[in-house]
Amino acid sequence: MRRENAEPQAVRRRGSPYGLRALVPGLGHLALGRTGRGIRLMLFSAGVIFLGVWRWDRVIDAFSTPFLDRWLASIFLVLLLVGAVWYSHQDAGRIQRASVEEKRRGKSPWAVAMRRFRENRLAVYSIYVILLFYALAILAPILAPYDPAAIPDVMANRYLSPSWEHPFGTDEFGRDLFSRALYGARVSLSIGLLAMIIAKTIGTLYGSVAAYFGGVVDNVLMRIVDVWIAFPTFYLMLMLVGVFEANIVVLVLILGLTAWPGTARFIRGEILSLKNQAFTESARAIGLPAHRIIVRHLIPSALSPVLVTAALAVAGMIGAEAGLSYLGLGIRPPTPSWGNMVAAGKDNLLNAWWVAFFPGGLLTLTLISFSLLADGLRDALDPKALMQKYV
Amino acid sequence: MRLRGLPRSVSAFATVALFAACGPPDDSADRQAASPGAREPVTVTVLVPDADELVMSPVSDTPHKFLMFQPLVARAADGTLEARLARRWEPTADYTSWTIHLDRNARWHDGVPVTSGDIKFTVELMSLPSVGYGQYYGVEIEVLDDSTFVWHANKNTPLDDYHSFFPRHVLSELDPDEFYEWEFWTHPVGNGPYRYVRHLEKTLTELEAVPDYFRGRPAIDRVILMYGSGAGAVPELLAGNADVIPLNPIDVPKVENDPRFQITYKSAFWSGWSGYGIMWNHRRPVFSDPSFRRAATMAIDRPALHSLLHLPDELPVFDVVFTERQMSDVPAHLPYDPDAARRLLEEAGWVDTDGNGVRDRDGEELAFTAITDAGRGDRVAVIVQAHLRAVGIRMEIQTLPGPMIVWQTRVKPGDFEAAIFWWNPGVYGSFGPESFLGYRNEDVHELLGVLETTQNPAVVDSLYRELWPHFQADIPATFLVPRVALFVSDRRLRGLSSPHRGDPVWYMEDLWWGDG
Amino acid sequence: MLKYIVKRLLLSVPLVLGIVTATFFIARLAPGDPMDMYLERQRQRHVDPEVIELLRKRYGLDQPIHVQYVTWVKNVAKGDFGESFRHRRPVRDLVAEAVPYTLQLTILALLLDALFGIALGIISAVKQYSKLDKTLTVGSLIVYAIPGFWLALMLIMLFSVNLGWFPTSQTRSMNYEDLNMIGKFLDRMWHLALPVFVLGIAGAAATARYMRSRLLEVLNEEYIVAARARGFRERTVIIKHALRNALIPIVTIYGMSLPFLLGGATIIETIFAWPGMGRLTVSAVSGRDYPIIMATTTIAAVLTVLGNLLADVTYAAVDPRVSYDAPRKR
Repeated sequence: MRRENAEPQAVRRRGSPYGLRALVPGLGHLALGRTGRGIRLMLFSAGVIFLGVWRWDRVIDAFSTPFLDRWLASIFLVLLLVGAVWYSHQDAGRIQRASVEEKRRGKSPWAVAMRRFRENRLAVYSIYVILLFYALAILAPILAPYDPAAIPDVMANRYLSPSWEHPFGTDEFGRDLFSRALYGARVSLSIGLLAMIIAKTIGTLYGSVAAYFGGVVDNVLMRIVDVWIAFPTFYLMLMLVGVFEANIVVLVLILGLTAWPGTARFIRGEILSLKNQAFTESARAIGLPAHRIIVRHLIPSALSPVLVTAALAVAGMIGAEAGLSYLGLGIRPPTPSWGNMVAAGKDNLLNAWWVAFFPGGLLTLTLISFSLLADGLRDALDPKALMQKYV
Repeated sequence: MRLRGLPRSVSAFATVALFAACGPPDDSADRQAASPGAREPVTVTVLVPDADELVMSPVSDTPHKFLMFQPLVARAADGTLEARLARRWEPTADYTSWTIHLDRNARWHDGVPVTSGDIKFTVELMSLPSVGYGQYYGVEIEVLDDSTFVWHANKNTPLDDYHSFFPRHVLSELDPDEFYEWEFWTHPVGNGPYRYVRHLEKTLTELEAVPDYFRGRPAIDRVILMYGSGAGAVPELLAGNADVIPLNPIDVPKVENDPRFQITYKSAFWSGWSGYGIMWNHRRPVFSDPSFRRAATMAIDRPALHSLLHLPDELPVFDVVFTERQMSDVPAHLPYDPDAARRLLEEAGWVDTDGNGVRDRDGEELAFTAITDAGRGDRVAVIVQAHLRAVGIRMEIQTLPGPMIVWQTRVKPGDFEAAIFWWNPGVYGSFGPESFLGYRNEDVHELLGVLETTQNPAVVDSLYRELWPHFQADIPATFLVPRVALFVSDRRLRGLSSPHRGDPVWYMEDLWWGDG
Repeated sequence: MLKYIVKRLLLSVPLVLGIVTATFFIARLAPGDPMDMYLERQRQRHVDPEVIELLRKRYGLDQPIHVQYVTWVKNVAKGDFGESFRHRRPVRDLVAEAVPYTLQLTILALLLDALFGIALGIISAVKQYSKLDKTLTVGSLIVYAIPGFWLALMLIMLFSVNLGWFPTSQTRSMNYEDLNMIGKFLDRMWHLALPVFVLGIAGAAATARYMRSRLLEVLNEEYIVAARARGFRERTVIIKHALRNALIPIVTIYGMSLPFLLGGATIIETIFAWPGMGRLTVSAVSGRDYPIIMATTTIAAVLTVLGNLLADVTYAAVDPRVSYDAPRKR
């Protein structure tokens, strides 16, 4: 903050991050002439506030009911607002110091990657879509216009085509498909994310261990990976869901545990090439223990390619869950997941196209967003490109 | 009926053009069929969903086998037996043995008469370890003469109405070790109204009427069994490719207002009750209380359940039915009365103290998990869940892949709270002393014990009438939806109102084709 | 080269054994009795416990697990996968019946994939950074991400149910046998059109992206620059010089798609009621028909091993720079 004194007087006055400007997100940006970002921040906060006011009873209710998910949704809503205020404050401050920042920019490869990523508009939009979907999933208990399991007067409500009351229409029991799609998002999106985390964690650890120790350990571990990798993933999943009763936990485990060997093999390769580089040698020379070298140095170095594959993996997991659920082998109704909602719709293609269309459309949008994101990340993090420019 | 000459699939585009040009196929061929003399052969195409896609499977009892092979007797929807291969039959007093007189006119499709020897041969063949069929355990055939034999069983038993028998003169020389590879299964020689013509792999099997069939030449000359998927059935019907398809109730709205088709439903009653029900595990203290079970039953609007599931309104709602005959004489059932259900629950001490919509008592919530099967049961369960919630009972639903897995992995070992599925372990197994429900009622157990010793219809019926009041008071299980065979056919297919049960392929010989 | 192939083949043996072992034990982890699943067919009737024992013996389930395991491995080595619980027929026969159907589907899908993928990839690369290139690149990304089952349903809804242009199920028309050769061929194609399109389009999208980046890489190589400098026409440069080298990795990719040939169409087969390996497996999974599940999984896994082997060998064959006689590093 002290540095601020060095700024021209006019700028400080216009963009002072205190008082009202600090409390209303985006106001600071408007004052600084960053209209686009300011308006976006304001719209965002207005949306969050509108949601809170609109569903005030539910937000308040959440704190007195024993349902954890409602409670989380309300907390999340509050966090969104607090986050917006905080970010706006920070960002406005940063913009004020921009001239100083400018000199420091471009130094770290991450900042470079970030900038390159921002230039890819499709990738940025897909991040927005993904974040929006995850936010909608968390906020489902506050947002959903109806209880996803509630069955009203079935005969009067079933197979209603999309309308203002039911944006996605209703299904054969008269359940509101928009609400079910929101709750389905919770299942589908969280399974994708969790399974990816499991797969990447196991794969990374496994691969690093194999690479670091080498020799017999490496040989044995990698032969296991060979067998595992030889299984066609979808068949292995089919077999496993056939053997175990699939519920959300089992499915996350199955998806996670079938997908790790690729990561393991990749990480092993990456680390082997890093292992003999100078910094590893010096770390060993000063007597750091093996596990610290792996955790502190080797894994972070190999991480940026993993980031790209992680985005693809989430898409793959979500797709696999949807496929299994579509076949009736994954998440089973009445718990909604996008996959089993499409499956329910396949019986209604003739008389109610919307039952299969909307959940499948959301699924498609999610998968497309993740692959665009991965594409953007790859371009941004491409080590070759980084080398060419900055080494 | 499909017009055979139409080159429907010369190419995709040609077909579109043809459809546009011709419109729906005209009926002239059928009018000709109706007029005597110049009678065009009548072909009916039946879609067989998710079948093994074989001409016939030697061991599984796919219904379409009955087109080529007749059982000894057929059972009508009301439980009466009708002659098929057997002309007459008498049980012994204890119903362990049946003396059966075969129809002397019954012939194999190659003209050889069907004899007692064929029955004995089939039973012995199928009992061989290399065949491993397992259905004839404890059965012995005693041949009296060519058309008379005695069916001995190791316990009292109803007359066999579902087995097919195979020709000894064709098969006796073959090696039973290669049973499953016999050419016979792809080119069967049967004894039913239709005989094998051709088979197009994974696509269709064509059968034609046997001209000198012993029960009279069938009116429908040709039957094509078209192999397809359950989901693709309705489009095939609408496209005019199939004349008869089995119908998933969910598809009823697609065809019910179409003047081209008729929906038929038939009781699919096997021995004992059949249909969806909530099986309560009586070992759980809450469920062992009859007033809870009555309350839960009254909370569910069962007549509405039928229309919700697109089942015909005429289907009876019942608390208990044991035999086919009772389907037309259903005793009064507990009414739909949510207020009475709430009263009963409150009397039992279940009150919603914390205002979350679920009743509780002594800190315990009135909540349970019902397991059910995917596809059908879960749809029933979803509605039951909503109805129960309206009276303050929370039911979670756990869906397993199929009724068989529900039964084998959870219900049979007693590892369940409640189960919504269709499964028929028999009245005795369900409610007797070894009841899988854990149901305890000495009077019922005693009556069921007597029931196990007889097959005499009169005795059985009177015993069941004694059992009714017990079951209505106890509601050991809540019956929801009776099981029915539902199918749609071209409106011109006649004779479906016959008293037979199940699929049209079981009684194709009684059907005919007509206009108007 | 031959030595390399033999060595790789030998190395595959323990791999295949591992797969066979894993398959067996995963299937045996299942809770409940495998015999229960046979009883599904008899659900309406009382089955005596003696009968179940008889059947247990028939399927070798009365043996201790290690004996069952040894029998399983021995039989698999002979190509015998036992008998299906549901169909009561040798699994080998069921698979043999299903394979041709799956192959029709997947080979055509691969053809579609290669034709469109490579062509679009070349166009993209040649017109790098043009509007067309950007559209194709983003378009292929999007097409690749669309879940096949949803696309299939939407196509069925549009083209089969509403327009009636394509069939929804069945592999051929009922009057198939009355058609002449051309008619038969067209009839098959008509029934294959939608599933092949759904399967092929996603592959084509992936191939296009890959082809583009490969070709761009090659176009930056020195010899291309040299060829251009010598004044060859751009078309000649691309077709004669660049394309040949860019295609090498594509060929290996197709080598690796061997398992796709038999196992890549699981969901699509189920949706279109196509009687291939995928539908066989899915129906076996929902019916817990373990012999079939074990067989199809094993077959698919072995094909993956062979596919990788084939990819490596073709790579060695087409790319003279790769040498396998030198000792392998790492």
